[in-house]
Amino acid sequence: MHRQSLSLSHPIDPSKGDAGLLSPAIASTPDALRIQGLAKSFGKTSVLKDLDLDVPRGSVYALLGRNGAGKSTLIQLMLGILQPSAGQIRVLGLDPARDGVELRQRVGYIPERLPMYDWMTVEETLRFVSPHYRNWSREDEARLVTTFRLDRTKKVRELSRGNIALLALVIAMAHDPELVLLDECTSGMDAIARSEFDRTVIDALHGSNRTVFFASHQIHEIERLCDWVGILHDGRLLLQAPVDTLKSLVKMLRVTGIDEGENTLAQSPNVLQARTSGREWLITVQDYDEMTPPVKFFGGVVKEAIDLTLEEIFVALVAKEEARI
Amino acid sequence: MKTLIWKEWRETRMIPAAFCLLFLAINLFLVTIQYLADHMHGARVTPPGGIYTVDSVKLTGVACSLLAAVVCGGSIVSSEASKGTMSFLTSLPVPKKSLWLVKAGIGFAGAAAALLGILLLGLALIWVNFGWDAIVNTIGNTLVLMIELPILMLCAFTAVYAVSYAVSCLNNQTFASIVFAILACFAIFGAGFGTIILLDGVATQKLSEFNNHLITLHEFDYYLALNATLHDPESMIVATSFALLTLTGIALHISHVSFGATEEPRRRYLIPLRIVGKWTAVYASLGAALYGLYMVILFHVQPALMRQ
Repeated sequence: MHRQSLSLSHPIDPSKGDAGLLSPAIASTPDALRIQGLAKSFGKTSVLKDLDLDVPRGSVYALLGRNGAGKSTLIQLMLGILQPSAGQIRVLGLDPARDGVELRQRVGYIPERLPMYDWMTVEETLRFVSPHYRNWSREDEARLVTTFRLDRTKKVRELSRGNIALLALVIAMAHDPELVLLDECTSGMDAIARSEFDRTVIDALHGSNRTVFFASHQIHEIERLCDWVGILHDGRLLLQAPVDTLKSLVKMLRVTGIDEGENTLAQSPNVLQARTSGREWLITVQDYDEMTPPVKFFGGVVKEAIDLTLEEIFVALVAKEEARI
Repeated sequence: MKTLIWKEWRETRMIPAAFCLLFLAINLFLVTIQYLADHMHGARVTPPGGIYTVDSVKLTGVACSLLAAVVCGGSIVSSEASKGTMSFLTSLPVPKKSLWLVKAGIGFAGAAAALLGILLLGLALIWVNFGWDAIVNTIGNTLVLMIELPILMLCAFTAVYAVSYAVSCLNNQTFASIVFAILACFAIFGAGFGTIILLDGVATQKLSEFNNHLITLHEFDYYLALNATLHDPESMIVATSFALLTLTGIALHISHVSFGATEEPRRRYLIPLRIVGKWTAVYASLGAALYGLYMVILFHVQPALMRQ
């Protein structure tokens, strides 16, 4: 079996030209986001540790992580709202700490808690925000407001959470941003509103060639949208890879005839999870090679390689990392 | 910038109106009580007695306008933090300095509007209840009272506002911010008055020792400047105004550095400590240099002062 395993403990060094499947380096396109050795601490609490991350231009990148993994902190650092303790960030070639105002002209941002002035109407909110953006398009604004069926005369406090998210999306899109940052903005929405919002986001971003950066722990919704994925755990980037590559490398093998114990299997670096189901073993591996699929595994016979969802892959990788620590 | 000013004014405009109404309500309440008391006695008690006097109008006016300054300054940033809208504001492509400036300016405009409203209402109340002479006496007819005293009061008002604004930038809760601002103003002004009383005590003691021939003029020379300042209204007004403007500068510096900072411990403790430390060092150095100069002038340039 060809071994091109995902490194759990050592994130990819993007500075290397041949960083393998996990590097997002698309040779000809400059990165929309480039982070090197980033660290952020709040007092004695270290939130991000030696983070390296690259997002290619035009990609839809999903940063996955559990609550408290450091996703929102990372986005605030990317916008220049927070200052890094160490390391370097370049967003669209700009330093957020120094060029925060210019950067925010070129970035659309939808925060997690969707804070807006509830006493303003939709119209007042748009008129309050629009003069600050030099590329604000009244035509795009009108089109999006009509598409999202937002009532301009309604006060923000009268809108549902889903509609507030849509208003935030109008604000994030009407100035034609090069990069859109979405920070768990569907949190707190019911399933239908989430689904509608996701569909709207897909429609709004379709063919726009914008770079989109999602931060989320609601993985199954993101799976359909993104083409790159990064997994953040405890302030460290476990991995980053194109979604297709990740899904082709991480598979669940259905194996029979293994004599080894569960602990032995779990300790293997390429095994993320292993459990028995009757006489069969279900083993999640991170180095599956579709070109030369394995026939034998730990002396057992591989009956089937099962595709996993992004959520299952995420759970397996995080569980492996937590077991390692 | 225009929309920022519009937004801030929409959020602040009710505060001056509320404090003007509060001032009017307190005064109407006091007038009613006085009227009832007069009615019971069968004759007008005021002036000179009674609870509704020119001084009570002045006192309620000063209290309401200072409280308006505390509320305007103490709520304008912390209310954004408590409602969670601060992150929305700081995510706009606007320099943090502009946001800070607009908030500080509009908050002060609100406080000043309250002050002006209360002043006009107070003068109207005094005129209606006590006549034109009372207004003339209230405003004062000497140059010191006409110009320097209002400047001193404006400095105190500005300092109260600036301290409240700084507290607002250091807090995430509106109510806590207003309470802390009131406490901070009491503490700072209490410490100021305490220091003046202490210095006055020392200077008076030394003057008494000099008058009783317990010490020589040479020994008393050190306290001459202090004694002169403390017992001269004009010098005292200038010195106090300078101290209040310094306090305003320190408070605005703290508010500027901590505005929009999301790191709680740094914002709450380190920033104020560093800034106060820096200003203290500058003032201590300046004070030492000026005192050194004073001593040089005293003992070398003016040797006649070195009398035994």
